Amino acid sequence: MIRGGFGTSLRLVLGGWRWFPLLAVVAGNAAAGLINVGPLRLHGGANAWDPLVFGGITVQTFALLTAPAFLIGTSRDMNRSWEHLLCLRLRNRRSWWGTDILGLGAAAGLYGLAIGAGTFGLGLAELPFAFTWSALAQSRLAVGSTRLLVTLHSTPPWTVSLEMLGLLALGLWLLAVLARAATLLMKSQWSALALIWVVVLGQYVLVQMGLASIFPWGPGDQFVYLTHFATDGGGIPFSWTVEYGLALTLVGAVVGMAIAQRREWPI
Amino acid sequence: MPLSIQVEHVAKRYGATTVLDDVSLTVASGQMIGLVGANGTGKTTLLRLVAGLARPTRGSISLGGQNLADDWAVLPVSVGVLFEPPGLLPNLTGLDNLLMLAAVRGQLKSAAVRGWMEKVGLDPLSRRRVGHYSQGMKKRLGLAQALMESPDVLLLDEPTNGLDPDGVAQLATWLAEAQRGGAAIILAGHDLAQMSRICGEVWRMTDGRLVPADISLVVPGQAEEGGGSSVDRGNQGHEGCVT
Repeated sequence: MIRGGFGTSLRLVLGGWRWFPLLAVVAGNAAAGLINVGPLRLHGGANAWDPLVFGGITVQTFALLTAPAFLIGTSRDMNRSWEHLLCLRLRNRRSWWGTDILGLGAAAGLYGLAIGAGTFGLGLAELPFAFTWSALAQSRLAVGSTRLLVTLHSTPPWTVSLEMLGLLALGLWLLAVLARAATLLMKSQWSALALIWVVVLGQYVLVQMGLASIFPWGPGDQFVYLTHFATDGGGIPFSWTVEYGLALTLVGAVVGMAIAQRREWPI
Repeated sequence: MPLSIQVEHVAKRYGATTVLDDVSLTVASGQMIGLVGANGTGKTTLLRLVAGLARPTRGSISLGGQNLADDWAVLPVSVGVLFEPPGLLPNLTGLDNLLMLAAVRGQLKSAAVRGWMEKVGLDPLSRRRVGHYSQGMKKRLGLAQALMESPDVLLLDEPTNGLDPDGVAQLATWLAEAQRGGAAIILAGHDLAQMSRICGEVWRMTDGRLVPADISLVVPGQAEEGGGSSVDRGNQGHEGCVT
């Protein structure tokens, strides 16, 4: 029954029109990858990994495209009357909430994989494949940071890509779980989604204004891998972000569970 | 396993408003009862409480011995519900709605779900989305989702609203089948004549209280013909039973 509920939850957040936000995110990130790496290619030595690692997943694409598209694409009105039909079949409010949270996690993973495949695929169409970092990646020209240069020299490109996509998926999952929990409280899924996006957008604006230190722990740009390595300053450590992301997702899921198991219909 | 419904001294308040006040009711396995009453008298609230979708302020509700108050997060086993509106997803087809719900329990194969679509008079191959269904079609689809998994308890609110006379007759047949299968059934509606024609026993909700309906007030012949008028007079304390 839990497996059936998970499958239904997954179809609810990925079925029908919900493929359009996913396609938009894949296309947008892939295009951004090529566009951002484009000028650097003039210096020669780029390969298929470069658009994915240096161009596709940026604070801009995260805050302005990927996060809002994921929130809209996986939106689900937990207060609508269809939900009680689902909950009755699951026979448990905890299962009803839990399968949705797992469904969001799976959807976030799918978004991460699709973004990775799309951006890497487009890079592959334009640039040669190699098992190693490109000459461009090994120069400070593209990297702009001693810390990232050290990371790249010691880690293969597919490992960095997987870490990058995993971190992105974790960030998306966190945002969606927080939005879902807020939906239970706010009784309007769109208000909840807007609230979460405003937080991400607010952090992005602060970073652009050079005021990142005001809100460094916000659930936004720290889920973009490069923000941990692209400067030589003492930013938030990568491992801290992973722990923070998992912990905050868990808090959102537990708070939501506490609300969900007291849920009455109609609202 | 057949289940009976036991409602004991249940009250439900929303703030200062008392919706139900000291309601007690027992519905045995294989029994079907009707609730009639004007809007806002608490019929739907009582069905939601029995389904475990809302929590009583006072009293207890048991289904097959499972006291719903033991763990509020746990919902009763094997309950089929239909509320007004039926609560289906408007951007999916009728078949997709049923398939998604059936997938949760995994009891029904796709062919059986299609069979239920046909049984309630809907085309399983239609690509029409539920948002574009008529009220009657939505009702039929809602009935299919409530009935398709042969639940032990059936709670149907206004099940005849939007149905044509043929649909009402079909509904009576499906309910009789469910009753023979051992389901405990509660129907809620406005029309005493219609309710007394379908159910073996009818109760009236008045100001949050439950009293036996006086079906002698139904005009002779009206019950058999399914006449559309409702009777709003009298709480005579006289149990009606049409068999």
